[in-house]
Amino acid sequence: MNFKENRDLAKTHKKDLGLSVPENYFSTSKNEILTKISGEKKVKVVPLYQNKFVWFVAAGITLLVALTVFKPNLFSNIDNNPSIVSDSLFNNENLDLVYDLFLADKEDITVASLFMDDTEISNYIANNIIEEILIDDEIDYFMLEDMLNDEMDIN
Amino acid sequence: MKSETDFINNLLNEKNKDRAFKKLLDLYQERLYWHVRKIVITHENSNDVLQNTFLRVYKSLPNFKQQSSLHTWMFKIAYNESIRFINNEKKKRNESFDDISETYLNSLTSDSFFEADEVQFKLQQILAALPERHRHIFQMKYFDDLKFKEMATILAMKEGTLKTSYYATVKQIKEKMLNVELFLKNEV
Repeated sequence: MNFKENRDLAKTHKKDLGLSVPENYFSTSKNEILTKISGEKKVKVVPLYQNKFVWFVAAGITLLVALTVFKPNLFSNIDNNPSIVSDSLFNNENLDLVYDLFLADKEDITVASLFMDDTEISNYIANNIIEEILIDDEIDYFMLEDMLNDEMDIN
Repeated sequence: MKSETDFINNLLNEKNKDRAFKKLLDLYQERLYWHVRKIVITHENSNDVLQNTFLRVYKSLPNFKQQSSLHTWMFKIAYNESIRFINNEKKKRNESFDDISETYLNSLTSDSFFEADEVQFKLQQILAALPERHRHIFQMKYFDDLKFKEMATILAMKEGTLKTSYYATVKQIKEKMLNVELFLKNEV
């Protein structure tokens, strides 16, 4: 490593520019930086692909798409169901119950979502699930910006 | 220290990285502080930017491609952090180009770690009146002792352009200092 002569930087800046630092500043600052860095080590970001919930949501969405593409008549053939089931599905009260279940219990998302309107599902995913994923992985706007800045510095 | 590559390897090695990072701090903390201080002006702001610089260095080390020396890379990060800081400050104040020189002097005189005699204050006034980029080029060469080649990497400018800017600025400063004490006479 090619280092230049060890000039007395503090003296030069004081003499020419009138700038100074508090007494013992550099030793205090060194400790502060080391403390910040040791705090940084403890922050562990779990990659998205390791998050079970992300896999669960992805599987749910895949199932929805698969049912829509390969079983397009699934919902239109609902009248063929036994009358008691058909009646209950078209009963407003029961639809509300399904909706509540869907919103209350995300573990049942793939089953309950079959009886939901597409717009409702999109809204729910946009308002709740995506936000939860972001919170779970601690990737908020500022961290993303930080990561982009890191890239800029590196390049 | 055997070589820069060995030192970088130690910084990346889980077992040696803490000790190596302390060494890195010993080598660069003061140098980078003064580099940052002349850009962000006050001690308090310089302290914040210095801490952010080392934090960014720590986080970016695994991605350091060694396309430049560690020395140049460290200064580049410190310079970028300083510029990011002053740009944010300008945005907060909604500052126009004309206000910059005034802000520089206001920040300087409000800092409790600035105490200048007549000559020092005159030089600061001359530096404040320079275009920001020209001031940085002058300070990096004259005070930080960086080579033109290193500055070219840090500022993403051509060496020729840097030399032209530096010598033109030196001439300008000398002329303006003639009526005060010529303390730069033998040094610039």
